Amino acid sequence: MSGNGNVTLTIDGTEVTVPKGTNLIEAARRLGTHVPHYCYHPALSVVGNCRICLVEVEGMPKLQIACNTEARDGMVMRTRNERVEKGREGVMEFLLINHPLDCTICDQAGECKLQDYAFHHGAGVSRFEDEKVHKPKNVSWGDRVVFDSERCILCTLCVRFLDEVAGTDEVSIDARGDQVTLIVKADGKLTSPYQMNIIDLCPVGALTSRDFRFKSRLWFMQFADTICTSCARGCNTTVGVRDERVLRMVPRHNADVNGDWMCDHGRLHFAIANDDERLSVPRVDGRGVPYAVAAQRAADLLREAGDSAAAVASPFMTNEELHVLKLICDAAGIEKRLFLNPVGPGDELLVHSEKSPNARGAALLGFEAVDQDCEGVQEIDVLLYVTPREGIALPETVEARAKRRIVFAFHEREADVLFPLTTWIEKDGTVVSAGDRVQRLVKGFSRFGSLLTERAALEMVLQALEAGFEPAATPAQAFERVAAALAPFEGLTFTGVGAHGAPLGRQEVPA
Amino acid sequence: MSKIQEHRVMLKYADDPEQATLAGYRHNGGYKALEKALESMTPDQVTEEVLASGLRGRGGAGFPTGRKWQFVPETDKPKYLAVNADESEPGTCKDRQIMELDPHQMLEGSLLCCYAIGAETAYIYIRGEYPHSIKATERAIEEAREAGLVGKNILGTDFSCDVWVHPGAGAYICGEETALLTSLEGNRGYPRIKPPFPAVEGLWRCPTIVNNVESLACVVHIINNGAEWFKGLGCEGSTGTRLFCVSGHIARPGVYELECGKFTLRELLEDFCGGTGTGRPIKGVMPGGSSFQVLTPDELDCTFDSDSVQKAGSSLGSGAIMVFDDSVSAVEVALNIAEFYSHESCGQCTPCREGSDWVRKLVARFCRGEAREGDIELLMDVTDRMDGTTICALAEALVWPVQSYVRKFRSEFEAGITRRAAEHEFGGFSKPVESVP
Repeated sequence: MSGNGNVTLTIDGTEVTVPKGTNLIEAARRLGTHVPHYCYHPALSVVGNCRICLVEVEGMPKLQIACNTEARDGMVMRTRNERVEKGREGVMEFLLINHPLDCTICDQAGECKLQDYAFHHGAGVSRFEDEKVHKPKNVSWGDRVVFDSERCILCTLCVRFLDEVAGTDEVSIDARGDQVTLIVKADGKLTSPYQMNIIDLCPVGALTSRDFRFKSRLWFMQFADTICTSCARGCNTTVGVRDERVLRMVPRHNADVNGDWMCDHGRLHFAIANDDERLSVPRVDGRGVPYAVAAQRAADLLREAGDSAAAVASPFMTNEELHVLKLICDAAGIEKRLFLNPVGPGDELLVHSEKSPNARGAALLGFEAVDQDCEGVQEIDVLLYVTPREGIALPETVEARAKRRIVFAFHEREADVLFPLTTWIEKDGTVVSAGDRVQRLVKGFSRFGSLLTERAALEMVLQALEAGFEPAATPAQAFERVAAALAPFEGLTFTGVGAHGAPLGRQEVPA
Repeated sequence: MSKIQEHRVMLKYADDPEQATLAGYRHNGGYKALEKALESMTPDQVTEEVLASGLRGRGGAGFPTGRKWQFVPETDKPKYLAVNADESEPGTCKDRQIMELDPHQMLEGSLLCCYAIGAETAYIYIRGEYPHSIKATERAIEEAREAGLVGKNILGTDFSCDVWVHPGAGAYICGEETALLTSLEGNRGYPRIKPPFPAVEGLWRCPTIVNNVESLACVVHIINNGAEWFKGLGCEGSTGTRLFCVSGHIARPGVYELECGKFTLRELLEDFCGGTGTGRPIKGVMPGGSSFQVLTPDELDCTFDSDSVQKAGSSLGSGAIMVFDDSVSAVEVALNIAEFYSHESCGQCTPCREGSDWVRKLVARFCRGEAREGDIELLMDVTDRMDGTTICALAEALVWPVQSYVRKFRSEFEAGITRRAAEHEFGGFSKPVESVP
């Protein structure tokens, strides 16, 4: 027996102590035991309708559903024995009798709980010989989600997410018995800016992404656990990549940041990474040159200009990139250190009003947030300008105040020195997200094989300015340099930041 | 003349056309129980009296009504009574009698319950297909409200209680108490997982008692005459009088108010109700609505009370006794039951949603004479897997009767297997047997 609001129970012969109120799925999870479940999600209400999480609890005549059974002191629970397996096998058989079994053309294949549990708990054969129930297929729920009612197992995760998390309560259940199907209320189209989360939640292939469907088999893709950079929230994500192309981005669990969700805007915001028209080599005076040549030219311009140069950074840059830019400013004697800080409307769930991932990092490294008018930049000799993302830029009139320009950009444009800009998925590094949390970007691929990240390109410029400078050999080393330079980073290590981030130290961070 | 006599307590004034009015009800002693309770009894004493009477719920499950009331916790939350008047179990038509002929009786019982459990609001959830019951109940509430029997400070006391009628929309499942509550809240009528039980967390997550109409009608007479009087009626385990609805192949169908424990089921059907009336023998009896097991002619000598019928392998359920003679195919009856429940499955839990229609398809194969070797075992196994694996009891309400038909009329099911179909009287009942696969 255990006090202090904890209870001790026995699961498959092993004792485990959990907080009072924990259900049996979560209690088993503590021991690394997976109790199969479809309709249960820790962030949503419990409905207990799928019936696959059956477990045996001593003293209870029937098998119990683990999702709605609270762990109690002295409880003895078994997650696997013949009786439990027979119960699960029964549920699996029921789930599959009217399922179309169209795995060969289903996007979910490979990450489908029906497949997984059929493999682990199913009988492997069906005794159902009658006509299957036919229901609507390829139903458009708007421009993002496509619904297949025959694949649906009616777990209602999507219904509950839209009601309880997104707050739009726009999917409902229609009809009865095995004719039951899901419908979208109002005009049949989803409106929630978080609607695509139901695709991830769907344990089967009933809800598919119009953007991703039929693009790739899961097992042909590679994955990078990184974050979304469309606002300061920094939702943790997993990016799926194939052939140097981002095919999808889905949220990754982080209880301190985004829970299990992300907004559709962030999720779909990766077109630039796949843009074939992007700049692939640096240019000097419009001609393609090796990075070293461009770096030397940039260094020469900056050295000549000195204090009559200005640096306009981007809050889409990592801390490591910003740190090298800061060192360049130090070396060249540039005083005007600015960054464009895009803002816009946020919401109460995840979307932050700062529309970039690292305004905090830029501020920490001594750059001053300015609006697009850039009052501080008047007549100057040289402008070193890292463009933010597409749609956000200095007006031409501001750029025209400089005689010469060194620019990092995605696309071909006017500049004395032009470096290709890379996207968030092409680099390793860290940012400071909302809540002063350091989070890691993880490289998914290198575009065009030869693109250097801004950090590498800037390091070459710095090397040309200062012969003694050695570029960081690894992302971890680059981070160590940032951490050594900034007091709030004290105690943080690159591995310590890890896949889920870590809060900054005690020091106040300028907004 | 049968030795069995009706003993009318609830239906005593059912033949009085004025009974449905407040004046008529009061003339016949109505609202005396409410006056008595409010003047001389504490809420706990009302509950104690009901508990002592041995009254068991009349909706089908037979749970002791007083015990249920005692589950309502001490809390600051509002408490509710939801009257289950969604009478939709096949064969059941007794609550309708009370609502149409004597609605004030239900209303008085509801007010007594509210007084006992501390509720200030009662909802009467009436089956949508009962327009007359809805009208009569609404009229009764209106009259009672005008007379100060519903609303603020009832009969000049501190007790206030409002009563509302909520018509159902045609789903059988809404007679299940938690689905009824979900429906009352304006949502799709889905049963809820228990725990929490409604008495602890019901309507809008507040303590709620769900009682059947007839149960509440009994409460009026228990308060008027005392628990001892009520216990003197019927027998142990089935105290008081009960309403039974006898239908099917029966000479005298109808709703009867009877004392249990005084005669056998066979006596009731053959003496009191006059047998099948078709000149043919009884083949099967479903003594408690369609949700429980069928009894065969050799099982009818049990005493007619809840516990004895349960021992015989079935249940008095909602008091609907359905009889069929030997002109009826047992497989067809099983199909009728399977069709009903597969149509009424709410579709929430996997085993019931998918299984109920599978069972229907399987039984239909026997009916058409197209079943295969092994299908009886398959039917039993599929139904076994539905039993006890769902949120509510609807799956069991399909499984128990269907399994009982297979067990008790196995030869008829065997006759539904393709190659034997032509040999049996009921084989290939609905369709010729030409379609051999």
